[in-house]
Amino acid sequence: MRRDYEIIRNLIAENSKVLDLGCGNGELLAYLKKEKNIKGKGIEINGQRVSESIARGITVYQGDMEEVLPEYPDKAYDYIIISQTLQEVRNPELVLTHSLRVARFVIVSFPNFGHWRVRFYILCRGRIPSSIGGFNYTWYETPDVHPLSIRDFEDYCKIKNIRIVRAYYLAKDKEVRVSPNFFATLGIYMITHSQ
Amino acid sequence: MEEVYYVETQYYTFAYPPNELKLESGEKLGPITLAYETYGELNKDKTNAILILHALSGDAHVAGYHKGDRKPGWWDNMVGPGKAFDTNKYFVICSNVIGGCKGSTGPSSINPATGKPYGLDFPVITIKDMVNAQRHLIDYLGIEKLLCVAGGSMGGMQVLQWTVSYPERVRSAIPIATASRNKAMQIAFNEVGRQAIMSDPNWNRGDYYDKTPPNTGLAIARMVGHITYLSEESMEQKFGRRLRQKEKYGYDFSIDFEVESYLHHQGLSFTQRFDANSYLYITKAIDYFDLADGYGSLFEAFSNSTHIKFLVISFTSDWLYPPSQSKEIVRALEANGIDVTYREIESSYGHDAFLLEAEEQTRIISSFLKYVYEEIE
Repeated sequence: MRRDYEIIRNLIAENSKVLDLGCGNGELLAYLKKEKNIKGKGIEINGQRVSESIARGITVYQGDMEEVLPEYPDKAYDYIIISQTLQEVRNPELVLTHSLRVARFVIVSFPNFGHWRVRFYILCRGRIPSSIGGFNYTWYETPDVHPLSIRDFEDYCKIKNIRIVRAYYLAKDKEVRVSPNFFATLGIYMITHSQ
Repeated sequence: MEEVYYVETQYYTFAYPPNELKLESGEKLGPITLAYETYGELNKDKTNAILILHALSGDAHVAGYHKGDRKPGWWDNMVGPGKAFDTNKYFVICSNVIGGCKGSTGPSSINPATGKPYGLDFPVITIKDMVNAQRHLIDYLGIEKLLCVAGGSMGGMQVLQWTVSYPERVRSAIPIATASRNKAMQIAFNEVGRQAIMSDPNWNRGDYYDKTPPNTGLAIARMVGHITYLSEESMEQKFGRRLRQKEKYGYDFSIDFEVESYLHHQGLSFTQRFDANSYLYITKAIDYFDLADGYGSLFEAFSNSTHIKFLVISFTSDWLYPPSQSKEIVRALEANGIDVTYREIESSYGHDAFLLEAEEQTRIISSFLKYVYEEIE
């Protein structure tokens, strides 16, 4: 199993209620159902991926998370997972704010655009990175409309009074201990409203 | 080569006086006959029964062939051995609605009080009445709990009504291309159809069973209805501005365009298989449909349905029962914490997509049913 999925699994309590925003083909929810007996639900905008989720036995809503999330009641879920999706949404602020309202804990992972390869790519070539590490898209094809770095995200949490419960930094599935914003390709966080 | 699946229509009569069925209008109806068909085998524990509900012009003959027929039932691409509603696994039931003209008691049936067809003496029926009648059939078949209720359009309305009227009898539900209430535009189209029928002199206030029926009115009603089942895109693809068997315009009011010819054919062939009074009664039942009625809100209506698993399906180009109305249903279910999956299938076929988009529906419905069935096994 993917290392980031294993980390997410370890963060989640047995028998909990989980909402996966941008659940794709339902692989993560199916894994958590099997490992942690969660009651899961996904939101996914792509019809074919919704059908793949249904084929895995996942409950899924086909639609735009930014449209439906504001309508969900407070604390309806134990966890909301935003797995490598935050940088793709039109309004990350809205998604984060409502996620923190709808779930007790929000698990966020995203590709770190502060990684040294990205920095050197721009510095040396003067181009937006593509086809390196986890950054696979040309500027005109990328779904990543809001690229962010580990430092960006942690600053955001500080400004918005969001408590970071756990943070993990990965590079090639291995944990990064030093200078994560320079060395990690992926950041995984569990956050909650600070109280 | 696929094996030909033969099936026969069966009949169940109940609600004999003095135990008539009490209707929503306050009137009583009885005796009532329901025409129905079954496919596959009911298992020992009677846990594999699926009830399929038909749309406005449908009937009990959902799949397979009647002996001597060249065309199969109306949802044969979805119901049968190895199909979405797999009759090797499930026991599938489909019944004709009351008010219909395909073997169930309706305005063309003989009124026992007069010995003549009911005509307008037939009481106005509602979706809830249709479902109440079906419940008697399910009782008679000895089924305590249906594995699933499924259907499109008016069939979907019956699905929703089942989950609200008899939640304890339903494990899962698949409402397709439908709505929790008929809205102004939908009522408007139905009213045009009814006026076409009632303006036909042959209608004769519904008393025409020993005379020429109001075929012109019924055909026009069907033409209007049929337009609402298609989409701008599918009509453009199918007909465009192509002329019918001519090179240039006729400069008269004969048929010029292919689309006109198609609608005339649809209207005419409908008069061969449908009763005008049934069209009036069933469209009225659809117009009266408002699931929230008597509950205060749609959210309240579903408050006893929390154990039911839902799969709600809509189609992108359906403008008669658009995805927005399916989403209203999904929101009300979600607000109750009900397990609901929503799929909006990309299709250019308009409302008719629920009859035509077999491949994608098969994929999701067969998976959905598999998991629901596994839970009880």
